[in-house]
Amino acid sequence: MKKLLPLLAWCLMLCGCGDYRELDSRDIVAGMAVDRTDDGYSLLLEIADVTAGSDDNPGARWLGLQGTSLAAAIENGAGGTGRQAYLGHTQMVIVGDETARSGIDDLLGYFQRTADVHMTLAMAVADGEAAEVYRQNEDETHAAFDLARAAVQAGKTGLAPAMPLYRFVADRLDEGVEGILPCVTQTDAGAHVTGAALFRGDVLAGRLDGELTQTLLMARGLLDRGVLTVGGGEDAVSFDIRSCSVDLKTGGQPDQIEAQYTISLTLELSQSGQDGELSAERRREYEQLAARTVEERFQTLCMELQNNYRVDSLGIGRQIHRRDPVLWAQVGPDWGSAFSDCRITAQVDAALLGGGRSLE
Amino acid sequence: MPVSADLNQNIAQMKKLFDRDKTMITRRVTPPGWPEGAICLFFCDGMVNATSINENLIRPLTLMAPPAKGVDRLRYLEESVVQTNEARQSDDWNDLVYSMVYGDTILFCSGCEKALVLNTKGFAMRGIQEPDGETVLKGPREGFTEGILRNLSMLRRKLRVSELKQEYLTLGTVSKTVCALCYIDGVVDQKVLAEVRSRLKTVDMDGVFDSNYVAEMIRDHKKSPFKTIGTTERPDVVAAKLLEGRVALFVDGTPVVLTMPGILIESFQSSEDYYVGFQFAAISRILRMAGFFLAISVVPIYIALMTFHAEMLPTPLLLSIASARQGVPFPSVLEALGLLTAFDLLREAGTRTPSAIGQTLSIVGGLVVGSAAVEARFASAPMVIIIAFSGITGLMIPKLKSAVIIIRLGLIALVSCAGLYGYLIGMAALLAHLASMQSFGVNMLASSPLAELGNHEDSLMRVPFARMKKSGRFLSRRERT
Repeated sequence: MKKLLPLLAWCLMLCGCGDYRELDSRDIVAGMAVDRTDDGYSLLLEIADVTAGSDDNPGARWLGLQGTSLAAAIENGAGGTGRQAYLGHTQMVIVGDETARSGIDDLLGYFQRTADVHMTLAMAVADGEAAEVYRQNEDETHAAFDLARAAVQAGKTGLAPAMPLYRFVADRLDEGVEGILPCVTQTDAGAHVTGAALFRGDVLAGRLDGELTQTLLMARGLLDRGVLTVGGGEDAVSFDIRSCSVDLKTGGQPDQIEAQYTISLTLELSQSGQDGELSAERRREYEQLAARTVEERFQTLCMELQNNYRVDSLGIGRQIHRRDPVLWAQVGPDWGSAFSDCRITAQVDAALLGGGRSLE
Repeated sequence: MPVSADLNQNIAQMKKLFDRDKTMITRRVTPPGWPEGAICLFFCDGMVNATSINENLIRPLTLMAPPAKGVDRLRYLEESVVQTNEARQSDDWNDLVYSMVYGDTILFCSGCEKALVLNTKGFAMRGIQEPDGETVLKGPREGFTEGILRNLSMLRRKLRVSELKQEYLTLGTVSKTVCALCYIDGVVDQKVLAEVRSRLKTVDMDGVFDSNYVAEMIRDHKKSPFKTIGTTERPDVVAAKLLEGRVALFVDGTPVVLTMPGILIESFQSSEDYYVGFQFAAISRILRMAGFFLAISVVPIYIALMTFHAEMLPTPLLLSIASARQGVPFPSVLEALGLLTAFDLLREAGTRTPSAIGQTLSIVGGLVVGSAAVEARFASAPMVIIIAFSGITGLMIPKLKSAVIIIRLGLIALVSCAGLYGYLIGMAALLAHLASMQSFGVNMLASSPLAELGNHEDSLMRVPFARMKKSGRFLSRRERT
């Protein structure tokens, strides 16, 4: 024991007693909106106010901060309130459109280096100023909690990518794939999480709507379930997606890369304009309709990605990088243009499991 | 000075020895045909059985026929007159004094240079009861009392073999406390036995009034919070431990018997484990181990999470705790230490008060004061819950009560400096300390799941008796039959 005591003391010297923080001395940040300004950053923090509301549902207050960097802005906040902003339980960080277009590497770096921050932190890109999204919902308590829940739900149904911080950073660091983040859109009814923001490196390159986002997630194998709606008006038919599997085969020559997708969908009929029993013929008709729709959307998606934004959000480059390093060595340095010239085909198989409860 | 042939000189010597002691009773007897007052009895009031003295000593002495000429008077009295189960001659004043104060009657006879020591012990003793600290729902309910002879008889009833040895010794230069070292010949580990004997020789105290006096003198690792000597008040437990090759030390005047060596796993074992189904016994034992772990860990981990690693908590829980902590003026560490002190004060007060008042004290302390403290913002409700949980789990293992209190305080100190890092350092130090400990040459972790991963027969859980091949036999020299 006598030998152990100096060792214990030595170990304690190495540890960070400075990390000691009482909960009372912290402002628990529930949400954060980040906008870049000419002088640096403008932040709007939603603070979980445990002095207001009830024990199980505390209130919220808002804190606007300015600083030349994120760290400086947050420190300025501590100088004003006397409490340290605590990001350990931040639910949602919204990045403004302009900020995202000027690059978010410094933002990602700050979050990764801050020990408190969870790597499962949800991030989203606003269609305008990020603070505006929170400002519109200022009257609501826990806007960040609601948005985070909405993002999770949208991720499950494929309307927006479920893209926690660690996954986005992993894509950012990986070769042959570009990162995507969910979009937050401000409407009269409030903020909605729908669509995907496409990044080229750390810079926002463009956006996809909900339908194409769903198709992108299908192609990346990130879609667990959701609703596939084909047609419009009275002829609209909705299917519940029960499962979606993807097989990607890549090959070809450096000047002509080929990528062939095989997407297998298992569907259940959810809503149809036609009543009556689901006959085998109609079943086959629905399956073909669903497959054709997804195929068309996929072609549209590829056109957007290859021609409009020139970003490989599908991850075809990553597949080549992993499976065919020799080919990647040739096309990797200029993957952006190689991806634009890539010949991408898709074969979609849809299987309808049953009529669903709506026809019973 | 030896016993004199002059009776008056012996009486004077006794009165000198017991000067100002009103408990010493002198009774002179004149047998028929003997000179007046030829026999004198000395005994201690309250230590003797008066009926036995009247019926078995005074009556035969007053009615006896005179001895034939040439016959040794004292021998005649010893063999033909007195009717006690034990009688012996002695001329050692120390022996006579010691025997008299222990309930024997001393008989001096005129013209004899020795005295008779007659067994007339009859002091009041507590009856056999179930020990409060080792109660069971099922199984034997008898517990040791303060009388060593009765205790040894209870052990003898459990182990009816001649190999059960009981070596008597006296400890305490003033108290002269009778002790008995018990073991089963052929089963006991001779190294342990020799070590116990050797250490007992080093005990040098004026008075030994409880077995703990001896335990503190002969134990290993005297500064450790873990006891390296087992204690029990149950004869069945002592018998079982002797069968496992251990040594037991009975001390007169206390129901607590020492068993050596005492290893860690014993703290988690209960005699009831062997009197109920093995499945339930296994669950109970695992719960006890978990209880020890929780008792030392819950408060430190809570403080670490609150002050260093709040991001590890689910957000709703964090918000709830943060809300509950509003207005509490003390840091979490001080809050925890204050509540722990209050809990231990209540426990200590409850232990020392009669059971009826103790219950009231628990209710007032636990419910009224606890809720009032939360209302007054002296403490937060989650901390009260954590402290109460830690306190209750600590009570699951009474044998490790002091260890729990000390280790918990140490871990709290560490986490308040270094968070979970400090907690892990503390736990590693605790494990290293346990691994380095020995009890009479036996490793403290012997037979525990930590040391013998393959041996789960009677460590982490108890397997059915039919499958027990080696458990508890790490000391025993005898093959299981």
